[in-house]
This record gives sequence, C-alpha cells and structure tokens, in this order.
Amino acid sequence: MNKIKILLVDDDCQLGFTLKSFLEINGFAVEYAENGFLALEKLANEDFQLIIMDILMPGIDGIEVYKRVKENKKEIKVIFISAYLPEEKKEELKNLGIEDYLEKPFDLEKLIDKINNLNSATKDKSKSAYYL
Amino acid sequence: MGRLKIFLSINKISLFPLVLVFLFLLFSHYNFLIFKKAVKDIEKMEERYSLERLEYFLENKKEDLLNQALELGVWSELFEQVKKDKKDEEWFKDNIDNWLAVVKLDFAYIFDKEGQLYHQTHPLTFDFKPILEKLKNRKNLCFFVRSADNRILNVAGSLINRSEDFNQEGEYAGFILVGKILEEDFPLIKEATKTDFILSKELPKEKFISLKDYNNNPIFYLELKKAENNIYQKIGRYLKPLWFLIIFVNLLLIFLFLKEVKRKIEEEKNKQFLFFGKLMGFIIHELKNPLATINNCLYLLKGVKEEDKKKVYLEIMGKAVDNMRATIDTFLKISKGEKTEKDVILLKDLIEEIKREVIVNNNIKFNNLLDEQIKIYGDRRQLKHALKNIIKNSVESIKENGEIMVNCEVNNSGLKLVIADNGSGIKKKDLKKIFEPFYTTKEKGIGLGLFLAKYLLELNDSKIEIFSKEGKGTKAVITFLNYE
Repeated sequence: MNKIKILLVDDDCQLGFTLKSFLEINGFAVEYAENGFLALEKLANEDFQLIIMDILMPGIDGIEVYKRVKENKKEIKVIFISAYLPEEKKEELKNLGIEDYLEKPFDLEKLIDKINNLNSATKDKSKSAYYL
Repeated sequence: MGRLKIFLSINKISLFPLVLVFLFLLFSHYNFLIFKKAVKDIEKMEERYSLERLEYFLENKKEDLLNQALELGVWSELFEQVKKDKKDEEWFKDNIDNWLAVVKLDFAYIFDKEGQLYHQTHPLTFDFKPILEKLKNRKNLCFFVRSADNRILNVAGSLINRSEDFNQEGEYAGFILVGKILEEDFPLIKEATKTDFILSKELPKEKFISLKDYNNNPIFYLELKKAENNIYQKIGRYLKPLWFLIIFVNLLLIFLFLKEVKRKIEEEKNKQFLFFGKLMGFIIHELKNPLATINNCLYLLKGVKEEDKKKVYLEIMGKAVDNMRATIDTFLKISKGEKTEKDVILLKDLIEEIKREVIVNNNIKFNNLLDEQIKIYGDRRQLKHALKNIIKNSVESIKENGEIMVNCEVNNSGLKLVIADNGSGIKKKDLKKIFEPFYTTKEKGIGLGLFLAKYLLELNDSKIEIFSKEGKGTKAVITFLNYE
C-alpha cells in the first residue's frame, strides 16, 4: 500500500522538524516547507493527498496558500494548525467554510486520528478542509 | 516609561477633544469680550452722540441762535471784551444785533452775526449769573446748560436734577443753549423728559427729537442722523437682545462637546482593550509555537531508544525554551522600558544572520554591502529583533523578483544603516501610521513589527526613518550613535 503523502508547512523549523519526525514514524511520507512560497513550489511539482499547514506565516499565509491550491487541486485535503488566530483570520476561515483549526500545542495522537478520519471520509467531496 | 510609551498614542488622542473644548471656551470668551466691547462702544458712542447732536444743533441753528441771542441784550462778558478792544459801550449797544454768545462751560464762545468766532474765554472766569438774571426776565427765551455729567441746569443756573451748584464743581464741559423761553418762571420745561432722554445713555427711539414750548413751537429740533460706524457696535446692537440665546447656545455646545469627550474616552478605552487583546494574542502565538515543539519532543522522546536521536530532541527542546525566554524577555523589556545588554555587534554578521532566517525566496537578491569591521554597541537580541522585522518587511514587500540592498554611511549624526528594497512600497497615507502598534496593511501579520523595531532601536539609542514610494520601493534609514 502506498504511503499517504503529506505536505507539512510551518514557519517554525523546530516544530516542523518534530512534526515531520512524528508523522514519518507513523508511516506517512512527509515533505516539509518552511513557508507559503516553498509550499506552492512543492505543490506545483509533486502530488500530495494532504496538507498540514500553519496559518500565520511570513510571505503568504496558510489561507492564501489554501486558496491558490484549491484553484487547481480541489481534491487535496488540508488540516490547518495554528498557535493563535486573530478574529479576522477566524472570520476568513469561516468564509471559506472551515470552522476550526488544530490549535498548537496539540496531542499528536489526535493528529493521527484526524488524518485517518479524513482519509476514510474521502467520499464526502464537498468538504475541502477538515477540522478537529 | 515603557508602559507610558505604549499608551502614548492612546493618551495623546484622548486629549484632543479636551483641547477642542478649551479652544471653544476661549472662543466663547473672546466672543463675550467682543460683545462687552461692543456694548461699551455703544455707550461711548451714545455719549459722544449726544454731544455731537448738540454741536450739530449749534452748528446748524447758528442763525436762529444768533437771532435769539440778539434778544438777550447785553452780555457782561461781551461788554468786558468790547472794552478791552477799546470799543465803547455805545458802540456795543449800536452793534448789539451783531453778537451772539454761546457759552460752553469749559469755554465761552462769542460769535458775531456771521457766525464767526469773536472771542472765547474760560467759563470760570466768566460770570454769567447776571446774564442768567437778565434771561430770567426775558420772555420767549429759555436757557439751560448741559454739564459734563449730563445734568441739566435751568435758566436760573441751578441744576434741574442736581443739587450742587455747578460753579463749585469746577469741571463742567457743557453748553448753554439759547431758545425761546417757555414760562416766566422756570425750571420746568415742557417735554424736559425728552431732553433728559437725549442726554441720557439710552439711545432715543425716535428719529427726531424736538423740544417744544407750550404753544407747540419747537425750541429746537434735532434729526438723529449719526449712524454707528463701528462693526462691533453694529454686531452688539443686534446681539444685545440675543445675549441669553447666545449663552444658551454656548452651554449647549459645551454640553455636546463634553458628551463627545466622554464618547472619545470610551472609544479610547475600547482601543486600549483591543490593544491588549492583540498584544496578548501576539504573545500567545509567540509562546505556543515553542510550547508545541516541546510537547512534540516529549511525545517523541517516549518512543525513542537511540541516544543520538534523544539528544536531537533534547537540543530542539532547549532551543524552544530559548525562544520562549527570548519572547518573554522582549515583552518584559517593553513593559519595563529597560535595556540590559551592551554587546559588541559586528553589523555585517548580524545582517547575514538575519538574512539566513528571513530570505526564503530565491528570487530575492540580497546585497549586503557592509564593511566587515563595522561594530555597533547595544543589546544584540533586541537589535536583531528590530532589524529582522525591518528586513522581513522588505522581503514581504517583494512580490516576485526583487532586490534588497544593505549599506551604510557615516556622517555627523552617526552611523546610518540603509536597508533599501525595490518592493511594492508604502502608500503615502499609510506612511504616517507604520510605527503605530497593530497598524498593518498586510493580510498577514499583527502589525507589531515596525512598532517593536522602532521601540527596540530607541532603547538602544538608535532611531529609524522610513522613506517609501508606492510601486518603487522602501528605504529604512537607521541611525546608530554607538558605533565604531
């Protein structure tokens, strides 16, 4: 069975490293991007089933990356993670139909659960991002 | 100090309506002074007005006066004068028709028939009691005097409405008017109230004033032509009845201003609340990231057996703790407004370090043209934070391809570090606000970057100026005083 290919996007390298390690231990193929630009670059060149992405990042933020990705790859799933979101960002997420995000720090097993849930819920095409 | 600085913008704004109220009160007071002046001017004018009317009367009725004066007979003063002129009494009697005497109490004037001034003299040297006596016996003549304090003397020389003898007052400056006598026995003049009226400080309502005898023959007739020519008098005249309305409107405006002040203070309180909300959000964001890293490391450490992997996770945890400490330190310093370190910093190295952390896009050309030897003194962590925020802004302003240039020059004011980019630039209207906390034009970001940068630079005796042109790029000039 092919490994699920995940793109992890977070501007905090240390956090990125630990998450990547954790996901790899749990059998996922993980690519790490430090910011929105690099994420878009990777997305243009490779296919991913899932993106785990921070929202507040320098350059282009997670929501912007999400919008651009969704223009071409509607099937791709996104899990947002964030340490803190100002109200306007929450509003923006809501407008995109995403009502929640994974708040840092989170229980890593919860992340696995969510990935598995997402994977098994692929029939529901209408939802483009999932929340925990 | 630091806390003060954070609130500075807020407190500055809340003073604004108070300043407005103060200015308004000043303006009201000024209005009041103008009004007061106008009323005073009117009073003065009226005083002058009454005098001028009398002069007008004298001027215009000279002929009549002359004729009437001829009936008076001999003025003793005139006799004296004529004698001095070596003219005999006979001559005077022959020429009696040619003389008119008008006595003003500071001076007595004697006119000839043509209205030419023949002689003038000081009234105190002028004994007109005999003249008054003569007048008293004349029918069809009236004689009264207006003194400096607007009292009227009757023909007998006593005051109609004053008890003292005018001669003892010594400071009279009035006129003796000559007219038809009203009654054998003065002092009452018909319509004397009107005369009072002319001489009082109230402006007469009638356009014409006349003093008539009992046969309704005018004794004198005045046309009140003098119009106020002072703008204050005009305004004052119209404002006088509106005075209470003005006070009411002023009070109403003050009330409205105070209400506005209250509203503004509430608004500022809310802003303050919002400020702290955002600040807390920012701190939470900065702390939760390393916390998540530590959390992940702890989880991972549980399942790791290899020593080197354990070491890696522990190192990462250590860095995360460092980051948290740095964040807390930064905000503590902001709240205390202190600087604690005085490091020697190689500027070029610092910029390179920042570059590595900030430049994530290969499309950005970064030119660090600084001399390797340049050193600055200050808190390395604070200055790095500040410069990082500035360079980060440059990076974010470059959309596709671009260039960031870092250079410096030394002049009298200090070492000027220039960070220039050819990014999207800042709009003119935004340029004034870029150092305000939580002001941001960017989609992302909290708007603390330049606020913190400026604050931290100032803590280290440095200052920052930003020049920008929309569409062309931005130049940040940071002046360091402590350098080598």
